[in-house]
Amino acid sequence: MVVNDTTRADLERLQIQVGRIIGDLKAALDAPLSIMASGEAWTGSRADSFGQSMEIHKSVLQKGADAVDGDIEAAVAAAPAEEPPA
Amino acid sequence: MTFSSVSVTGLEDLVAKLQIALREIDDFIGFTTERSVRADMNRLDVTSAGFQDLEIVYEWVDSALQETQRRLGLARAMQRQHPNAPMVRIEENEVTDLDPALAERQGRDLAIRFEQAGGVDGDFAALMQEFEALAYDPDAMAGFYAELGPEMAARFAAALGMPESGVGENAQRYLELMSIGLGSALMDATPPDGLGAFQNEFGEATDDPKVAWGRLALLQYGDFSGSRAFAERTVNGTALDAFVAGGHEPGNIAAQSLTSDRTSVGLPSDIAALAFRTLSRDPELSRLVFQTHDMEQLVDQVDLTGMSPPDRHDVPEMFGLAIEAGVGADGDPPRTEHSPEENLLAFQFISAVGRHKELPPTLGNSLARIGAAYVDEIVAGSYIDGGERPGRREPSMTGAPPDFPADAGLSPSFYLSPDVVYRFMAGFQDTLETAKPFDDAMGRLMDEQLDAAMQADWATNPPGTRTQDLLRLFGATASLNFEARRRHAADWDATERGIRQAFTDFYTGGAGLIPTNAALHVPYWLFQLIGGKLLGNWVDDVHTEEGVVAENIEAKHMQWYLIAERLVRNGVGAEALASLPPELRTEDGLLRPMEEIFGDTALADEFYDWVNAQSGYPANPLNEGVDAGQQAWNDGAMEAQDWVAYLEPEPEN
Repeated sequence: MVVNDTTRADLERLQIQVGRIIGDLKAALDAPLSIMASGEAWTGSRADSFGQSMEIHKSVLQKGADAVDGDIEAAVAAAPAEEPPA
Repeated sequence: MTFSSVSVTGLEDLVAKLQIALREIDDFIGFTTERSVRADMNRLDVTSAGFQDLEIVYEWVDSALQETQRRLGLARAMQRQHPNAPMVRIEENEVTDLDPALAERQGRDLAIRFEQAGGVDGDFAALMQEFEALAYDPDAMAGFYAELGPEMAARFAAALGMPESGVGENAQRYLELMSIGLGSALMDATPPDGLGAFQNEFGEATDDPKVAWGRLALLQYGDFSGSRAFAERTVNGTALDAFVAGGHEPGNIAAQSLTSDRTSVGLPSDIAALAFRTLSRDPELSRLVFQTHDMEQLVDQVDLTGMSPPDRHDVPEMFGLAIEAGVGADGDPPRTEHSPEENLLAFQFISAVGRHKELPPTLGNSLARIGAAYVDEIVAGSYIDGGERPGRREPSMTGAPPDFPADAGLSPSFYLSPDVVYRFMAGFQDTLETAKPFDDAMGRLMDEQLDAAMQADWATNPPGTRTQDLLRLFGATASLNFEARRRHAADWDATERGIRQAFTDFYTGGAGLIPTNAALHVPYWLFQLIGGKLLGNWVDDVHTEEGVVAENIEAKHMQWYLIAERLVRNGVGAEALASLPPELRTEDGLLRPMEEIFGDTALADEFYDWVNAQSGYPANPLNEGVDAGQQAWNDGAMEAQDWVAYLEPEPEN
């Protein structure tokens, strides 16, 4: 991870922007999973496998999202605080 | 074998949600967009291993989306076969597992082998076996028809229709499959290259009868409810545009046939007839197509076509079925409540038919069913204003004629004219059987409306006049109908014998004005006979063994009794009923049946006296009610009789 100390404000802005949408990303498979769980779209053993696979990918999605979020946070933390203008 | 249950709406929802999920992940990883969280991070020299996980999920969702879209396409095709099922069952196999592009490829490969076969000779059964496995697969069928092209598709269909097609009894099944396959192809949500051109060319004018017939044959079995614009262009471009311009002329494409023999698939060989048959399958398509033409021109052509040569009798018959579909004359009995679109088409059709003095006999069955479905409008259209002369009034969708009795209780959706009603009814008087749906509908309408009118009238003091208004309208309709029947029946003597027998059965059976399902039409027939027909002569002629005394009874006596009996049943004269002599009563205290009262002269006289408050009987409200009712009927009937005499003078002997 390389941080240019002149970008701390940019990093903080990025963190805010990502913070607004990271929740949507982590929940991206919630609605499809809910449809599968309702049994109103597709049922049967193939549907069960499909639903299980979706559950697994939801975990992967959340892990990836947490990692991205964590890396931005780390980058912000590593950036030196900017001096107030003289 | 593994089966799944799927729902079209559920899968549509799932597809929509997966598309949203894919976009949300893409906003981070930037697979298809320039702006992304990853791009923003890269600009700030920040990286994350988390994106590898997001890429894995993106690829999975992308693949899941394709699988779901394909399953949705298959589910849509299956649900057309089971339209009312909330979920349909599909077998999980290599077909459902196919990538849409691979399914399309499979369809194209099959089409190439059709082209190589060049016709239905040889081992066509093997090709059709493969086709059957793909017929409900929109991706595969879209590929098949895009590759095969419109002309070859039509020629294969035409080859199957030929009497000696070479595929024997499978011809119809194969044609059905090809038609179902075309319907599936048009359901494809992502049409492949060539399918758009296929659709355009399919509706272009052609002078090749085999191509024209084949195109229309391919519309006979599949589901085209999602592609009506395509079906409309095909029917019009192939046949009906030409038909309207001169469908009775020998050189016209719509006047051609696939073969001079019968087709091997049970479809009409006549191209115009097959075009109309297409419309008879789909009410919405029927209305869509008919609204693109002038109905008067269409009926003119059907008339010319149906009169000669005789082997084109399919054209009026199929035209009638197409109109029946469009105007909502479905059901048994035909439905009498209609949508505005159905009403409009019915108005246009009946008005156009009403301009013709003679109509093709094979149109008759449909005319009677349409008349039954629009029986309120037929009765309302029979109204004749005092002093009005034939030929002046035009039918109207909105405006009632002057002095129309709005309180008669009818609720017509449009107003015809007596000229139109008479000529329309003349179109289905070939035999009593042909006219039966309409006669039954009239019996039913009289039954419902008279009860309602009598109850409404005698709820007030003095009684209202709705019953009289109604009876006058019924009298006019019945008279127009009787004259149409007398003048236009194929064999009036046979018709008369049929009516006479029905009266005998009716009279000896002792029915009142209570239509049963088997005799709904009889009271209506009876009420047509106001022109002085001596019913006794008729009944005597058939020498009934029931000993019915009918020597002196006339139709008007029976009518009089039937009105009286119905008034009694609706509570009119309830107080007077207390003074009814015991010999005129049943054990239940009601009036004895007609044949018993009129079978004995003394009883008939006594009944007359009781109703008319003669010979010491007290005042009876039935007296005025029956007289006024019968007078109203007679007025309507006589006006209509005069109208027909003026409209269609009979040659002097």
